[in-house]
Amino acid sequence: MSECRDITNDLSAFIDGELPADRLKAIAAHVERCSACAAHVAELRRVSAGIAAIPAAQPPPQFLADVRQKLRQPRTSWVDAWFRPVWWKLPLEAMAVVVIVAGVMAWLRPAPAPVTAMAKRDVPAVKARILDGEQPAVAAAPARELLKAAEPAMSTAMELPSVKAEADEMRPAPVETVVVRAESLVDVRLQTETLAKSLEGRLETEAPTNVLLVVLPQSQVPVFCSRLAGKDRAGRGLKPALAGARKGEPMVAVKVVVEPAAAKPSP
Amino acid sequence: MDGVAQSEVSDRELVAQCRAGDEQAFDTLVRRHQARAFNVAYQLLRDREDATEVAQDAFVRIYRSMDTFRGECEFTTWLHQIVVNLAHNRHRWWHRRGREKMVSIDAALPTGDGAVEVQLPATTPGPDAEVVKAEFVQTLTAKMAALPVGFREVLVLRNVENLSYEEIAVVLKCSIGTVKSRIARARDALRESMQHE
Repeated sequence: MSECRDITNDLSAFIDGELPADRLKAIAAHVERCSACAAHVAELRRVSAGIAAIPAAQPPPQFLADVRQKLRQPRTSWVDAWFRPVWWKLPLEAMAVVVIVAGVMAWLRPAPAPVTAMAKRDVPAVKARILDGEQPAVAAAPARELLKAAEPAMSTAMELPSVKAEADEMRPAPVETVVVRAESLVDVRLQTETLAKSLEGRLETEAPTNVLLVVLPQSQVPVFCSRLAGKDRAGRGLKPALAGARKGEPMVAVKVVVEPAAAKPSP
Repeated sequence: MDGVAQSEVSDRELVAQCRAGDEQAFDTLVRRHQARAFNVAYQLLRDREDATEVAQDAFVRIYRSMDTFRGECEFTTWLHQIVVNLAHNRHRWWHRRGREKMVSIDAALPTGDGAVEVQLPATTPGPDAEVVKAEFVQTLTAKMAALPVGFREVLVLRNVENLSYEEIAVVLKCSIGTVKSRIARARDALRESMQHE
């Protein structure tokens, strides 16, 4: 049987006579005394004869004339293949080029500066306007303008994978900015967190920084802003929310900027 | 040169005459080998229209690259090479578009003039052995069409065109060992599929 295994792969070449003479002779001798291999050879011969007996298909009578016709046609150059007909290939290719170039440029464009840094840079100017002349500490309108200006940079940052982590930190975009003057950053942080929780919100900023991001239900923003600002101005304690948030209400962000308290003028 | 004389001229001489600008010599080459080129293309593609186009394109390519033929192999080997390549490309083209050309056992094959004929005359009375053989070949034809194109190529070149393993290796640009194993596997695949009938 091991001899059968050895020659099985050569049986096809054997019936074609495509083996060295000694190998042909050895296989022929084996096939004479092995009925299984003899049957295998017979089947291979039958299949081969069957293939050879498949009727040949005849070409059409005008075969040569068609070849001559094809030879008379001008050869298709690469210019023709790529650009003709111009009326539909060129606009399509131009569009493809624009898309590819835009894609490459978007990919290679450096990541914009994080919006928090931009906001930090511009906040002192806003604060100056709020604090001068006993203006309310809630700097809603200027902050809105500031954040509006920062929006394109934020949206770009969110599209780029390299700044995804930063983009996650920034989400959602703050809708209000509250400036709080206090002596202790830790106290303001604790108070902000407590107030946010009481209004069904949360403090997002983990790092010890003077800019805190709070996320809370949209309806609670005015309460949050007035209470935080009120605490700062009048030194009152925090009060619980007057009304709870509605179910499924959108969450928005509020930025709290902590400013060191101005030294009291000496008498 | 007259027709009788042309028919006696070898392929190599006809190629040389073509290179010298003799259009008649090219016509002679086409007439001499069109049936072969068409049949190989047809056995690989099983579609008359595709086979006609492939075989004609092969001659067009030969005409346009006549100067590159160095005569290192027979003209027929060169022709086979081009036909098989073009048929392979055409097959891939259909495959990419999800259209496999398959022939069922009972499918009638269209002829050149648009009429349809049954390929094997099983209706004509004859000895049992002949009928069995005709049925066997008909089944085999359908089974062949279901084989992978790589298997069909080697079987057509070997059993239809009677090329040696060495010539097949030149046509397919692979080693003789590859040809040998591919023919063996193709025949075994065909043998096994016939056993299930």
